[in-house]
Amino acid sequence: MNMLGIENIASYIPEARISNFDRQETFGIDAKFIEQRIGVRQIALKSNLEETSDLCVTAFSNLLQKLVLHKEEIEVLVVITQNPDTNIPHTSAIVHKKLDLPETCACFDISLGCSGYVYGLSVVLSFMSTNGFKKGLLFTADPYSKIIDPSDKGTALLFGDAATVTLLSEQPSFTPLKFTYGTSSKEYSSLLCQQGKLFMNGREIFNFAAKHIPPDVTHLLRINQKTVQDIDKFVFHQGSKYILDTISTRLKLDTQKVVFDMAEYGNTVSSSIPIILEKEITGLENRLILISGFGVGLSWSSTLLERRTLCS
Amino acid sequence: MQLTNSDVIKAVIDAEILPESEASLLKEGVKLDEQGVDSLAFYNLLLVLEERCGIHIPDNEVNQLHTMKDIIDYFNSKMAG
Repeated sequence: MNMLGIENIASYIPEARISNFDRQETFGIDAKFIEQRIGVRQIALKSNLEETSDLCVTAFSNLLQKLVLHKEEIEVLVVITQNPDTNIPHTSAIVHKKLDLPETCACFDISLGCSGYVYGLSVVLSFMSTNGFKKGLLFTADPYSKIIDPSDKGTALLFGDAATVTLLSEQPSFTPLKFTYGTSSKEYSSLLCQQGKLFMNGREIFNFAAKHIPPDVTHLLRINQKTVQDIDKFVFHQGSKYILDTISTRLKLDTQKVVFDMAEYGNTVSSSIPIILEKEITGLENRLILISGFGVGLSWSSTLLERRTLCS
Repeated sequence: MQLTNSDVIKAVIDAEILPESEASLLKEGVKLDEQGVDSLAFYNLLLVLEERCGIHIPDNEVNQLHTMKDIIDYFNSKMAG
């Protein structure tokens, strides 16, 4: 069997934006806090008419701008979301209908937040391998605008809407090495949606990321027999600029290798990593990319993505 | 073990919250947010001290801490207990 991995990625970030500079007075913040702490100048906002499945469909349309893909070849479709169109059915089934995919295509959702993309890669690639599948679609779409209280400073300035789709196939540009996973469930209530509204304990989330992610990265490198110097790019979940800076400081990383990209659209939950990967996988200088997602649960997962060449 | 002014300043420098030249000028009785340590940096400072001293500060007690002196007194009372 040929090796399965990431063939290509496309994303959809809605055009509408809300500027955080326009909300400085309302929330009692200054430009330094916007630029250097949360690191989000503006958040992306979907239309009220767009459902989660619609974001996925647009991401898929953007994928088709990049390559030729015959729908009848798609054997599995997975959507990572905790803000589905409806509780029943699973959003992947709705996306399946909107894309008019064959009845032989397997569909399921994965309920995870910011760690979802890395988990999703592992789950879907394993599923494809077990079943001998050759092409699969992994979507991320978690529009938090559905659950954010616009008056809540801790979340309204941070989260943006987006969706991505990753084509997994036997013609990969990157393949994952070993993964790590973790759950710190005693803090699960630090990021919680109740009665339709999101609540986040910023201090607890910061502490979680600062305490758990640096040792996880060290562990990931060790089990893959790599060092920090071997990594061309570090693509962490874009929680906030301060969280990324703190992780980088604790790991003593070369900040030139740590990608920060959320300033113009916000924290897009499970879409944050693939939005960046879409750009980074095209750079031939990037041969080994570390990805690490962390958040809701509180959970985390990390892996290394290695570039495939014609000979590998 | 007693937490001192120097320990807090060292934590500020190690966590890259302020450069050494500014951290060494921190005044013990003045609110930290008036000396360039905003809310997120304050959480970072507390985390570093929590890890070094092996204690956890509950959220409802964090709100009582504003100055370096508040922090030193809090940690020393917890470590003495």
